[in-house]
Amino acid sequence: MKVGKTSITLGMLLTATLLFAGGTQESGAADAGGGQDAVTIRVWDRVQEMGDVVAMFNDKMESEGRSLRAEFELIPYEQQVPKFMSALSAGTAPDVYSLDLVQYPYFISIGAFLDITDRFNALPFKDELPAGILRLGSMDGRVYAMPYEIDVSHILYNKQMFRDAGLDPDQPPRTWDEMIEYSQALTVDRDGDGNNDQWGFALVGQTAGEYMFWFMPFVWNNGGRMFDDQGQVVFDSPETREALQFWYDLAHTYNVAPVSSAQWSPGDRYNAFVAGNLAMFLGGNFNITSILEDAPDLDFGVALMPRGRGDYATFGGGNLVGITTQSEHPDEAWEFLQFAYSEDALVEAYGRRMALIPRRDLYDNEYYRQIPQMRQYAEFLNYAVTPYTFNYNQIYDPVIYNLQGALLGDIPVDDAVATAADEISKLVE
Amino acid sequence: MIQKHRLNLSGIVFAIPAVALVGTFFLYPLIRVGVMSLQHYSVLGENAFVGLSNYRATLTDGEFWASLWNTVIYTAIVTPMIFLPAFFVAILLSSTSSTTVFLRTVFFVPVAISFVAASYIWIWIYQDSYGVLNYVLMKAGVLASPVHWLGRTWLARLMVSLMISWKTFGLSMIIIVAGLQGIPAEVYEAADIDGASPWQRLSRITLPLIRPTLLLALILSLAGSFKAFDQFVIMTSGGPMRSTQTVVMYINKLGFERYDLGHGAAVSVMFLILLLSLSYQQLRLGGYFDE
Repeated sequence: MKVGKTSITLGMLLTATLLFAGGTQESGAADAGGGQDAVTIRVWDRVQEMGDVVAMFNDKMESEGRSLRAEFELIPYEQQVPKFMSALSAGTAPDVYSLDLVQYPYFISIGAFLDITDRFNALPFKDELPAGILRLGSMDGRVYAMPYEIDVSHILYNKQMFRDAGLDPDQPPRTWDEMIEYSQALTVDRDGDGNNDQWGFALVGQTAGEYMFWFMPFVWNNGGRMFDDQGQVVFDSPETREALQFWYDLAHTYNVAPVSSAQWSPGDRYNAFVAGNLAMFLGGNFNITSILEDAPDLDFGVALMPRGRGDYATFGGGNLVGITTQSEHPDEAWEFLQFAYSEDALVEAYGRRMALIPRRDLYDNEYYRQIPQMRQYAEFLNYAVTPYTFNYNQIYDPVIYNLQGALLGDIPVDDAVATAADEISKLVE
Repeated sequence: MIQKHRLNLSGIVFAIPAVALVGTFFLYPLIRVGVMSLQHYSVLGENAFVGLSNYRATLTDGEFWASLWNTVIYTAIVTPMIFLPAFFVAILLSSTSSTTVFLRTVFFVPVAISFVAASYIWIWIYQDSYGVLNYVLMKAGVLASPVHWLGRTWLARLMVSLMISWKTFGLSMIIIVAGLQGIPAEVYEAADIDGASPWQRLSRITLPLIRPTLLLALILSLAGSFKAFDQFVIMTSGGPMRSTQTVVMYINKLGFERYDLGHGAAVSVMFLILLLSLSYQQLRLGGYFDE
């Protein structure tokens, strides 16, 4: 009797284990149901809008009586590289991945993305995609990934504070000198206790990515660069030193930006702006929807970052999208991508939420027309710059260490730039 | 004989799920990390064996030693900040009444919050321009101008430790309360009859009798402090100037910023050995092996 009980227990356990294992392996195919092309495309992205595109795609497939389906997984920003590396390593990468564009040169170089050059060239709207950003998804004349979700860095400013300070709310600062002048007018100690209650400007930031996104445009708009066309590090230049000195002076010399803001997160700047404690802040198109929701009465403008000795510049960021080499269904994945670039998908999923879409021919849409600030982005995109390096993540460490150190007053500006350039050179070699 | 055999078989059956879980999610990854630490690991393609060169690279990397030192300093600051309040609050709340149960719950609640959520709450409290801490201290006239709590090395270490103390001392407190309640009342009665002072009761009876409990709480807390990651990533990002970068942050940086997974694995293995030997020393000093 006892032996019998034991065997039954053992048998039940084994059955349960087998069922469990079988269940997890088959789930993907089972969802799509029967039919000829019962395939499920796995799609990863860090923004929820892609989830909407997937839902719209599935509705379309269903209405056409097809069993092709897409399945969406939201990947947190900080997890997008670790998760992808683990998946590639385990052979379980998604079919379609929309990943931060700066990561592409590395992942293309290790063969993680499929060559889609011929398919790309056949797209009728390919010339409407921003070329500077497309470069990140290309290698040796071949295309592996296409611009999809666009982010540009720029200034957002409070027009009412401009009026209160006697400034023209339709003329944001265009040069560094004007930036200092405006910031001084916009920095106010309301209660006279010796502490500023309203700041003209705020620096960035807590992470290296923020320095790349908001500080580097000041280097570019002063005529400097991080890499030259051959990929050599040319960061240590008078242009970079002047840009860093300019930021240092805003905080330490002119007292128009909090010194601590060299450690603020983007959320800190946003909160200070929405709460009415900050007149101009370094943000991006992604702030627009939140401001409209959090502070519907806030009268704000968007502007390019004021320039030094060079031309205007903004960081052309966001996501490219590509098909991974581990996809077993590249044709179906391409079909999904074609849908993802359709007017319906882009305007309804992204345009509706004031997210920037990659096709410039679709900027005159019903949603952008309602928000005057959105119309300026087509112009901003002309100044978009994106650094191209295989070692993007590796340059984070020297950037944050040295630039933040200088802005907090711990390292002299010239030393910080020289050391950062030196360390980046070593890493890139 | 047969009876004994049957018992063993059912015992094995019941152990299978635990063994399978530990094997799949702990032993197998551990072995893989060990193998990886000897490789130049590439995500796609062949992995070349490179012997001990990842280990050599670690030992000669100044940043590894700096991160280890930061971790040791942080542990040295935070451990007493968790233990002293936990111990004294546990003594105050060791008897069971509705008030002590309520207060124990209040002190334990932060333990149930995730480190990530707790870090975000405190980063807002500490924020220099709209944080409530500066606001209260300035209103009370303690501060003349806002303090940048996370902007200076030692201040940042202290302020993060303060958050962790609030977050985790409840767990140590509950463990110590359980230990205190395990001491038979007769022992104290006997001590009272012998005329023991409160200090003698604490040092001669309470402390020796809850030594195993204290040891357990200390090991858990120390190992937790050495593995610090979330709180520093969120609150300081390792800054200012890497001075709050811990070993686990360094491992993460090697693996996922520099894509050098083999090197990251080597540091993980060394760190594991360090933690094991630390725990062993703690057990030895705490008299665990004498009993």
